[in-house]
Amino acid sequence: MGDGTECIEDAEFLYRRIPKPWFNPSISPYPAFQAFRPNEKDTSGLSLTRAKYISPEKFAKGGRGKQYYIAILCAGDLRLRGIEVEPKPIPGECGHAELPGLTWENRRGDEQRRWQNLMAEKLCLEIKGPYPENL
Amino acid sequence: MSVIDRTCDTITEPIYSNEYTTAAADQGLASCLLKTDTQNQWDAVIDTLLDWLKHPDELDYEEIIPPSRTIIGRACDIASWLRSRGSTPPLRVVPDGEGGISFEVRRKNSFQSLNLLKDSSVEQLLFRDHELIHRDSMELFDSV
Repeated sequence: MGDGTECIEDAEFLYRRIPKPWFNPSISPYPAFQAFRPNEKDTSGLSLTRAKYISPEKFAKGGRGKQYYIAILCAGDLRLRGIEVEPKPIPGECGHAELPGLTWENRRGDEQRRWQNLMAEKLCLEIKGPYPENL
Repeated sequence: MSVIDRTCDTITEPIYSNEYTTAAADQGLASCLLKTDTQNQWDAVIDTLLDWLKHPDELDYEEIIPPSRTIIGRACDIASWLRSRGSTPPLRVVPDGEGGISFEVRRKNSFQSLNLLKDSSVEQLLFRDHELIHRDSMELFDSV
């Protein structure tokens, strides 16, 4: 395993953490597209993490005791749709990655809205969780 | 006609031009049952909003700026008005993550989002086959 700076292969899986209010499998198999909207911290790109560096259970634990789901996406699927994904390791999370075309600043652009909808409704391969299972 | 009525008429042109209830209106008992179901679904949406007022901790996530009580109240106003019209209920209502609230409607290959933003402006998005094909915004309430 690398140090997180190596290129993300097309076959690699990526995780996106989804707060429980944005996904209810009893209502819809898809999360709300807001789950893929950048927040104020995503100034250089929407944050994801590389599956090869962490388990979904551990990744979900970053959330202060709240329940999260983990959406799984494939890097190649994103690129096929024109959504670039780059490694961006940060202290304590060498698997951190970003979508540089989707930032806090441009989150309301037409193309960026389309990407958010695509990721929520088409590109999520699976959604695991919630984690922790019992609160 | 009130400002809400006028604006919702505009907002709902694509989203809530409700062919289901219109078609059902001619179908006697079946339409009554459908309408009841529609009302129940709207009630569930309003219950969700009221639940956020009672239990704000449900939205206490670092990724979510929760909607204020004012915004939740205004979302209830919109929902109540659309319910009274017999409009198609949304699939779900969710916080938009930035202090606003989104109503999401799905039909076949289209997906529509009616977004009450943090400043009380309203935005509508319509996607078909994942393409954004319509977008507009308007002022429904005084800014907060």
